[in-house]
Amino acid sequence: MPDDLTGRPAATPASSAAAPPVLVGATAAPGAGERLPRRPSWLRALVLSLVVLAAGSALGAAWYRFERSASIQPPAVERTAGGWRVTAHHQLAFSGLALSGDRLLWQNGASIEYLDLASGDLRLLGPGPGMRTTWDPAVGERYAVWFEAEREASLAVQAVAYDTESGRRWTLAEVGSVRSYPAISGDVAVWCSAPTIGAPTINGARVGSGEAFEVAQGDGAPVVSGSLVVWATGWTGPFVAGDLVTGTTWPVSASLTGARLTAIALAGRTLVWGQGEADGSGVVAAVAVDGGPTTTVASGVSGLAGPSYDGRTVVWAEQTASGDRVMGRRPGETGAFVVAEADGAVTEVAVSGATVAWIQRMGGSTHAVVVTRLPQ
Amino acid sequence: MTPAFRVRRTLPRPSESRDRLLLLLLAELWLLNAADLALTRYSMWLGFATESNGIMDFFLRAGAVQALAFKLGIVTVGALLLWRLRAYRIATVAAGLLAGVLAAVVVYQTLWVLHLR
Repeated sequence: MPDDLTGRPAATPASSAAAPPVLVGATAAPGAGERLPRRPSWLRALVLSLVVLAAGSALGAAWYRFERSASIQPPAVERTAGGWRVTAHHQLAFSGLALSGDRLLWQNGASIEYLDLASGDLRLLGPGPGMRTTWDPAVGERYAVWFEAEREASLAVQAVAYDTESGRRWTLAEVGSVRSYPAISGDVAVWCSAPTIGAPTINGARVGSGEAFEVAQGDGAPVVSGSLVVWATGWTGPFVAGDLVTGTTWPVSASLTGARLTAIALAGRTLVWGQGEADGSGVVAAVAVDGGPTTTVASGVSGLAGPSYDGRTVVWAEQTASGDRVMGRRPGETGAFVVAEADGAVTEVAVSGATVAWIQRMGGSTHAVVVTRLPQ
Repeated sequence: MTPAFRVRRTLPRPSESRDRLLLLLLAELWLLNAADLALTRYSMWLGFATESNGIMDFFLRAGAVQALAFKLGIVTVGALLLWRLRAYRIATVAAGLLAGVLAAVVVYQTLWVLHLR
């Protein structure tokens, strides 16, 4: 046995173990019925070794394709005349639509999905290893932020950041208990959370450096634009603003209807919000956070979804007798315009530059994200 | 009386052709291990993967040099062992199987990383 391990020929039986190795160019002629010894060749050895690698590589590629088709069912992405359409069948509802430039994110069940509008590449960003629950994402000029946890009721939720330039994701901060979805502007992400023991707080972090900070004590869903943070202190308001540079906070004077807020959006120093009455009618309004009159952007809106505001255009969705439609209005211009007629029930809208996106429910368990361009 | 287990001795059959194939397979195995480590580290840096091998995870946390030294050290020891046993066909078969499986893993990882980028 030791002989076998050393590679040396065994001492017995002499007839077989003592056989000398076949040497290159050996002159001994083969006996009757024996094959000629094959001449050693580096080329043949290289080809054989590459065949082994090719077989393994084919196996790995097949394994990857099988695993993706069997375990991951990404929604179908198709290019349309105006942009993109992402459709998912037999899946949970889409939510948390976030749009900034060519970056579009949303939540699909427990997954965070990212569509690069320039290329049409769809990527699954979350949940990360060991995580099972996510919350609606937010995306800015470069970074995206969302929450992840092992389970929905967890008190150990993490804020996860994703860099759309490098493709890297990392844990930005320990959140505690989630009280709101995150919002992001540039490098600054804000959210409302509560520690295990303690009152809710509007918190924030600089995504690039990871520096965490507290904006103010309070409860609400914050939005951010530059160094300005605004949050609604309840489902019907009022609003409070905070400046990250000076550290001051002040109440925003706005005429609210007392109805439940549907969404709030902040761009520059203008706050836009929607309020939906119990009877289905709604209003979209705007105000400067530093003071001034409240401007009604749209009123008598039925089945209001949104609004979203990017500093140039306010976009919302409404129901009509013929179906849902996405509307837009530019501050300073008279009258709203129709962005698109939707072929489903619109639940969320987003706008960024010349791009509009919305989520629509299309009956059964079919959901779609539609991306198009604003009419000129 | 027949013994319950019979040990069959494998006879060494030296072959220079096989030696060349084994040498190339071992070199490829070494390179594939280096690629596997690089892809693993990159996937972990991207934040989309964790190392599930506890020992390797320990060295990856210790640093790139430590992880590289451990992984390539282990592979080098294994390769030397197979090289010492090169007179036996099974050594070449084992190296071929290892290289094939590791090639599958590396291609799988590469496709997965490309999907993330």
